[in-house]
Amino acid sequence: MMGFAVGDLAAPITKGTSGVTVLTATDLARSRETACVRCGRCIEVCPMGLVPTRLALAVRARAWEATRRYSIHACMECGCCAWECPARIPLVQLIRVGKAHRAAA
Amino acid sequence: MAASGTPLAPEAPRLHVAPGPHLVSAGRSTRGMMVDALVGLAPVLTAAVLVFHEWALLQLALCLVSCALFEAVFARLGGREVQLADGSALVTGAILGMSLPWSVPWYVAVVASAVAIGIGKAAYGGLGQNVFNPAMVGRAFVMVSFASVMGAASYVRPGAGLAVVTQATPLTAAKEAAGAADIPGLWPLFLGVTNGSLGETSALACLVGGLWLCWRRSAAWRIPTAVFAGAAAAAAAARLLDPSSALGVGHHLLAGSLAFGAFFIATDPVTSPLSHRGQWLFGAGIGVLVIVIRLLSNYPEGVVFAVLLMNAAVPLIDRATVPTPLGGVPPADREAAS
Repeated sequence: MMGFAVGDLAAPITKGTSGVTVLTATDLARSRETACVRCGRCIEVCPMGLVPTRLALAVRARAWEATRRYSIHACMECGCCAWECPARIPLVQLIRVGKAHRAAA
Repeated sequence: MAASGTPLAPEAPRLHVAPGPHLVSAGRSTRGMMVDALVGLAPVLTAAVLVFHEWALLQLALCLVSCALFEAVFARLGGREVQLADGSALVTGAILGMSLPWSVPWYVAVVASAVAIGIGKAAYGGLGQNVFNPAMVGRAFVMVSFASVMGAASYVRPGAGLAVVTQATPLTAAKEAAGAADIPGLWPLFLGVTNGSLGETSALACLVGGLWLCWRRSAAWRIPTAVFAGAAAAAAAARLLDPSSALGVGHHLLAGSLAFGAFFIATDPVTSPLSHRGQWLFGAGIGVLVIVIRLLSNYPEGVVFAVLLMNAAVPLIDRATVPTPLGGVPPADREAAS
């Protein structure tokens, strides 16, 4: 889940490449997002001990101070939270936006 | 790299590029959690129908239909997309229906549903945004507004053809000194052949449905455990202070809607804390408050207000129980240092 996206088929395969994943539209069909119901699964699985739902929704609300307080920089983008989320919230993607905002600031 | 189709240079595929992860565990969805809640309520619904016959079905149907209707109405009014398919309105309706007395007029169920969905949920912005348990908001509203038809007397009607409604509810009997003889033993309380709100009578049904819900991980098991532990501790303390009181610890745990509230109301994920530590605090608070309200206030049952009070404390509990990141500084110390 931690691979990076490649936009060009001309990208080379190096000896460090463990695999190439291509997903079709049907694979992604069940990703419709619904509201966060605060079930807490993302917190249970986060290996860094963060609160992904707080971070992601703070990024959405542009509450940058809250992202700092909840240690957004500690996220290693493993994707466990997004994998577990019943509401299909794009947690990792939102946290990345928040980190980028901090880097740019 | 766009290429026109020739045998040596095939059409470039259309690639949609996005950061990962791209797949979500298929086993869970919000709707699945709501369906789990309804299935977990099935034993309670069955017990209610067995004890209260057609009255249980009437109140349940009224609440289910009203909650679904108002969910659509308020979503439309608020400019939000109507999402009845996520099932949350039905769960609110089922819980609300089970918390009402068997004899309430139809308009009480409808008003309770309107307030539950409109004030308890829609006013906060819909699913996931509310602070207070919607079913409890609706129940509290009609409890206060229609006190005469919701009060202790409304549970009892000897001529109604139902065996259980010839006696006061166990908690009401305990409240009135003259009714001490009417308090059922622990076994009838456990099975549910007593008077009370539709869903609260059978602790057995609540236990079966609730344990299943916890096993499915659609309810956090720490919350019901903490509720029972807190209630047991408070009831034991009360018994120590007043050994002559009518209700023992067992009575308190099995009577009234404590079991129903512990498994189905307190575990509402939206209005309960995020962290494990917070869930213990929340549950314990509810358990203690239920006993305090039962013993020290005019109300025979305290679950509705205990849940609402602890719901109000959840933002504070969440703030106080932010987990420490791995290798990091605890949030409180970080705030002091920065």
